[in-house]
Amino acid sequence: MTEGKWAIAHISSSFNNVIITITDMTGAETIARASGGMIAKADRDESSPYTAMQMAFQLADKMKEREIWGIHVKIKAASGRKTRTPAPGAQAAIKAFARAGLRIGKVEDVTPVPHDGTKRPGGRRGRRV
Amino acid sequence: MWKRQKDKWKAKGWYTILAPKMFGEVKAAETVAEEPSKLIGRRVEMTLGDLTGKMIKNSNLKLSMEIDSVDHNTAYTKFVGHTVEGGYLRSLARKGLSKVDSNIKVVTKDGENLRVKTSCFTLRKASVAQVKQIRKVVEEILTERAGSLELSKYIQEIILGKLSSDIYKVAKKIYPLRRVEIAKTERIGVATPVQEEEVAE
Repeated sequence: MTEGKWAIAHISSSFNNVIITITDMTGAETIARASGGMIAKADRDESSPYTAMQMAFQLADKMKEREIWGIHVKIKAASGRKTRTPAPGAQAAIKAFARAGLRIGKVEDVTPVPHDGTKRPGGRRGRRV
Repeated sequence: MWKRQKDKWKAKGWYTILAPKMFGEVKAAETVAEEPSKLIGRRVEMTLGDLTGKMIKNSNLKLSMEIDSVDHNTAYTKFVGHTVEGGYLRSLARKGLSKVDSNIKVVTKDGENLRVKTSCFTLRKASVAQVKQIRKVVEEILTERAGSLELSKYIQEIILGKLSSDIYKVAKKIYPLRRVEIAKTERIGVATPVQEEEVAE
């Protein structure tokens, strides 16, 4: 693991947006970052896998410029009373990173999980549209 | 905005972070900063497998270390705690068995304060009395061992599983156990002189 510099890719993926922040191993310094709105034109496309892919390629270029060789990935889903499984954008981003020639180290789910928390909206009979 | 960031980036330099002495000062990670003073207080997490160069394969165990001094381009760290991955602990827990958690504060021989959190998993549901007894045994063993070992030795025993197997041997006489895991340690405060008792909390 000593052949090059490693960084951490923090991927926050909800159903409305994907935000990727590349930091150094301590998480204190940001190396590069991108979010859905920087690429997609329509709001609804911000969270799509294709947008996430484009973002990843853009970031990979930036990282190469800054001599990053591989990344560890930390995925965060919407959490709270929303879903705790990452949205499709996260998967696409990791795949794109790998295709761009970066080494992928550990992939970890860092979604904060409350020990209790508030009730999900929608009521007993669910959301009626 | 990007332009300003780029200029900033050029001013930054890379620093190598070394693992604490108790882990043989292996290269742990690299970090960027404008000046060395900004490095102090940053934390790095690493799994045991990475640190020992795959001598021990255990990716469930994470060590965290904090930078406390910088010399030229190398930063030195101290051990601040470890965690066992939550998913792994959850995989040990089943329905119909007891999970005995304990959370105690110990003082090592060289006066370091540590909080140690353990989880014992039984084979079947234990009674409250048995659970309490197991917890008592855990506490006894942890504090007793801490009193006779220095921090680095103590951490080593935790990481290599010696301490948990010792607890297992004693506690299984009370009720059959599946596994004992020392889930977490945290270093708290600065080292106190050895004589002081643990009255602080």
